[in-house]
Amino acid sequence: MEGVAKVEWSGNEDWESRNNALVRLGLAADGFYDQVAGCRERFGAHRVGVAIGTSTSSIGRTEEAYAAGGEVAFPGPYRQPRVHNPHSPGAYVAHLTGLTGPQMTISTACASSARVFATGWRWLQAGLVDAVLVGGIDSMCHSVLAGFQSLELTSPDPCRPFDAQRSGINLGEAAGYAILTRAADAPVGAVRLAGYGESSDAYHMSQPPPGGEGAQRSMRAALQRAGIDGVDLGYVNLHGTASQANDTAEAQALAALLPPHVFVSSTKGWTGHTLGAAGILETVITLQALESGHLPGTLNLEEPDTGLAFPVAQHSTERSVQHAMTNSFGFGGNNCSLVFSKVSP
Amino acid sequence: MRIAGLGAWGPGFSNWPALQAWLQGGDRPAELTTARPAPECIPPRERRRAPLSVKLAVAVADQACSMAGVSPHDAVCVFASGMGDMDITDYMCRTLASDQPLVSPTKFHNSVHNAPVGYWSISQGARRSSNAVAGFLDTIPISLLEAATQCVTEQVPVLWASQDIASPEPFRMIADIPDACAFALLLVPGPEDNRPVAQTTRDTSQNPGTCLDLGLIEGASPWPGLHTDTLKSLYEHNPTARLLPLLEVLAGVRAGPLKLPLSGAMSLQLNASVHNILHPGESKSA
Repeated sequence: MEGVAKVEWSGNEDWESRNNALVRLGLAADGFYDQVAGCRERFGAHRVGVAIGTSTSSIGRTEEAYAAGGEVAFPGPYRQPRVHNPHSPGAYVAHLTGLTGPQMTISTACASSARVFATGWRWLQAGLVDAVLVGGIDSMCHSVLAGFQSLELTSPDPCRPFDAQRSGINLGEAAGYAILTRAADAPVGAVRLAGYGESSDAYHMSQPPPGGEGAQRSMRAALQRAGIDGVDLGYVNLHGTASQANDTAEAQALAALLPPHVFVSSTKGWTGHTLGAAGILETVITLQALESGHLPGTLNLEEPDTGLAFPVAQHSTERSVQHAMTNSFGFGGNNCSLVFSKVSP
Repeated sequence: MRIAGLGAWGPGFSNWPALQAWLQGGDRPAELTTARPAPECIPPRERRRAPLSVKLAVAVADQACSMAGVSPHDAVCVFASGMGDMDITDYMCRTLASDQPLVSPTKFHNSVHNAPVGYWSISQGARRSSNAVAGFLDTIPISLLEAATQCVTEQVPVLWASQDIASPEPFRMIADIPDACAFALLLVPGPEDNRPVAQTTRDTSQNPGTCLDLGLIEGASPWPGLHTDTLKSLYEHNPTARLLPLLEVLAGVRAGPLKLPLSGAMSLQLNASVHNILHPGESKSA
């Protein structure tokens, strides 16, 4: 991603990593720092929690330490205890924002930064905090490149979700954030997190069951918590990785829960699969769809796979929708679905 | 909420009764090394593929569920680790730095932080929520808070488990962990939990088992000292061993409440009231 290499670490060397560069770039985007500052002043730093999703954390930096001769002991610049552990991005977000409420990193593979919304919901419901900075960061590194290649899941071509010719995933990297508050504290026009659903496949570490039963359970739980039915959804942003197994199983799950006219798409043709950041990235896209009425289609879906159980939208459209859902599924059979709703004025 | 089950594994103990006896007597067991757990609830094929981090988490999770009499199908899971599986991180980084940077697909899917809870879910057929969290040196307080919050807000049994393994050589200067250990708690909601976590008070008269209250308090706290001298090294070095002060309370050798660090400005207060010293088979599920 552009800009990562230009991040300046002078004076902050103990946090230096590609992943933490993305942490900073994301916080600096779209005036988000100012929004966090407003939240901190309003509620107090200790009343704002931090829940961050990641799958890679800063393992890219650990790879660099080994490549720099650290197979016995890390060379000087790499002796960074706060970087070489899974909580690196959550701790760095708290450090940069000055927030002192509960701070946690969730790492459930590609469902990581969807689950942070469920955690934020519960922290608010329990009265632990008045706001939660949620988000996710994942960065490109050799571990995921070599790992997904070893599983023969990557495609040499631009990924084609739900296409008859799909040949695997493209890896991406991203950072994204949102602030959750109780409804009474939300600004006018803010979209409501209406429901979350979490489930486990209990099937295989890196394959979903063909019927998508785990995905069905997370979607059903999210709909139930939101108090709506599948027919009420105007848009679903799919996990849609363009792997054979995911797209087959997710289509099966959709067919079990939704009428076929619901507009569903995968946006990974634009972004690639950003792994632990996919949940937050696709949440942001889903929120934009709710707010703007622009429903994105599926880039590179040219020849829909007629063997799939549910029709996936090829082309973007303009349509006002009230409720939208996003799906994130990860290794270990880890599933999370989120439902967002427009608040009536 | 109540603690209905406990699991423990570490140098010199392979279950809660053994650790409890150590905490109560203060004597170090004669033989300190503990063989690697080989939990039979993992099917043989998966067990062969499972790394130590997975076996530790699954072994203690199984102990906690058995003791509580709660089916793994009924509990949501919050699994934790301060450092993750450093053996696999070491393997991945070492392989990628070599002339033959081809990684094993099994090791790659085992490298995710949620591998322990994933194997647990797969081997038990547990289909409810399975979370995997981290908080570096403060993993114990933040993951306990996460588990307790889910238990109270969703009114579900929560299986909490944490493990950290010994550091491979290059990690010694990052986190010098000489010995692995793992613990699990099976939390069940109680009738007193209809109030927010931060305001929970107790009426424990009707509840068998051990009542646990958690609350956030303002102000930073240092880590409390450990009473059991012979476990101080483990406590100091292994992030998961930072459960030991609470286990001293549960063993009846330490008075609460406990304050644990949560951030530079907040602490987690834990209050465990032991109405019924936990022995296998005595406590009942919700």
